[in-house]
Amino acid sequence: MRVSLSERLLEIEGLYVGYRTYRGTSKVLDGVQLSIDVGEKVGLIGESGCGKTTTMKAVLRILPANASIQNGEIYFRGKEILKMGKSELNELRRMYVAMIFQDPTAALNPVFKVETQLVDVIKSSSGESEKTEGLKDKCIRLLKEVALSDPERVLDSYPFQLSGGMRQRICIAMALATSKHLLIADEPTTNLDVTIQDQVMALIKDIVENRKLSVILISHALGAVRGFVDRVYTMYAGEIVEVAETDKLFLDPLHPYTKGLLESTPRLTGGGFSEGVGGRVPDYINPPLGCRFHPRCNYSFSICKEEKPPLLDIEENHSVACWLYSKK
Amino acid sequence: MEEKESILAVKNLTKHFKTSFGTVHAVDNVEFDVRFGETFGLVGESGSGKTTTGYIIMGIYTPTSGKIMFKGQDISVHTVKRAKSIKKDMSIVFQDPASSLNPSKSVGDIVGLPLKVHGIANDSSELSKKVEELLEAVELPPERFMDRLPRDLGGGEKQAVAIARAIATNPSFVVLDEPTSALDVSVQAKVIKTLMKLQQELNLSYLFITHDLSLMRNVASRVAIMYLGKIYEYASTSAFFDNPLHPYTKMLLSSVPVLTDKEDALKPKGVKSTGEVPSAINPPLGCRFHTRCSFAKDVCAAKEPEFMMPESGHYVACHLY
Repeated sequence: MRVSLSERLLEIEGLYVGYRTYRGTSKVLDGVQLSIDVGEKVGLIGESGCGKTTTMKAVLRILPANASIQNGEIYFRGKEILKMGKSELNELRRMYVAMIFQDPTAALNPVFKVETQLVDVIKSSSGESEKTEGLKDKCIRLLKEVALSDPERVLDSYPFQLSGGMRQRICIAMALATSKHLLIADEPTTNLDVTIQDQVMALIKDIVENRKLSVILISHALGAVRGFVDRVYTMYAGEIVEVAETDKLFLDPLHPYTKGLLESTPRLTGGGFSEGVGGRVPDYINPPLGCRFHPRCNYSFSICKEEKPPLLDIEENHSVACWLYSKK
Repeated sequence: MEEKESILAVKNLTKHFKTSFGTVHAVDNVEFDVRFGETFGLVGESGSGKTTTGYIIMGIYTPTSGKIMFKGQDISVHTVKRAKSIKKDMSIVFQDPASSLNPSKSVGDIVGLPLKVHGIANDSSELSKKVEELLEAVELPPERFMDRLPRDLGGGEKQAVAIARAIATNPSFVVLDEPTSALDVSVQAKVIKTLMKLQQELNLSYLFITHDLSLMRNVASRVAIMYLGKIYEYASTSAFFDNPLHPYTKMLLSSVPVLTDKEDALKPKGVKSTGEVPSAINPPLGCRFHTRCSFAKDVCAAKEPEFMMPESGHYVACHLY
């Protein structure tokens, strides 16, 4: 992995997470490695069901009850998150790490007005039970920051009275109600229309610049990632299969999965379609041995079925986990 | 708009829904035609009325006014009033394969149902033979898929089953209502490939409804762009992408996230996405886009723009032209 002089903000080492199901343990994350420096913007791409959200939920320790972290270490500014106590964890969530979820409808409580919810967030993240005065002004300021034109009316509305784009803006306002260090945006625009998607991404970009945040952007829309981040991690079936600087990854992808993903994205310039990546994400209860991608890979050979390829540096700032590239 | 070469033509198609909040103007005076063997793209964001248009054509809704001509016949009525031969000749693939397939029926039953309804297969051995052929046509090995339930299938496989069902009666016209928007890109490519292959083999005409312009660029021969119940631009795909005319279509194109610099170069410059789609209950007067348009003039709020043809075969409804 790359060693840099700048300060490491978050470091995930060999993370294994499983879910208990009635059929057995679903071994989703299989040794995830990911790191982000202070001020860096990182993208995480991959199909649905490949473990992107699970990884991020592990960072905030908000995994569902049937999940268990079997192995691994997560360091945030040098502190081990997996060993944190309750109060430390709350501090982490309150002061340092903010998360925006994919579905703003599910992230907001349908039976409370926006103001109530926003005030609650401000109160709890600032860690003190502030007086209610002044809080409304703060809410209005926050809503203006996320470019909602009519903050008074929005504050007095229930979530269902607002459009999807407005709801997502409110979630962004909530996530950033107090100053944070790291923003995890989990498919923040997937449920929105194209023109609204563009607006929300532009908004997130602005806020990130203004507040000098570090960002992890999760998405399966490759285009959204390309326009935003410095470095991209490609994930497949709970494994990081490729890491590279954004331009490099999009111009010269190495892993067969990244290639397939890029080739199957339709282009504005036309030119038809590739075959796509055949098959689907494996069953995690009995995941394939060796490289988890081998059953879908056109280039697989014998070792792929037996041994898991390590994530190796191929050139500067470009690592890939594939036997095609390692000298063995 | 030549009629002889079109399999389907809609004229002044309008659908209003009465609700307790007021009348929703879902589709207003929409006109287009689909030619034999082509893929016609209907593009728009949510709430633009593209799906409603597709549903009216399929007879799921009765149009408030306007006409649908299919192979020269007027079919502007609800599906229950349509002749069985018409229903056999048109079919639809829905957006969400998880909810369009009966969860308690096997793949074989689902694909076989239209064959039974239309009396295409007379006995059970003929039926299972036909179903096998259909599953092979969508590249699902019949021996592995015949007896499985929808819940055991991946998203792409489910949509393949829905496609097999749609082509079971050997129709000549299929409405594809966002057939891949619920799927991952890697799976989408395969489904689109299958659809294109079937179009060639069976000489199908498609009405392809989508919000994804990049996808549209690769599948459609002509496109119509809808906004809030109306069509604002109508052109061949290449003309549209070379020179989009309407401010809305420019905004839409400039918002598409892309993967290469070449694609970036195609996007209109200096256009910024602003505002949100207004409610269809009281759509803005005049041009419905004027509330979000940076080029709006006084006339835009007062008068509805008429369709013009600034270049041959490229129609746009905008006061700028």
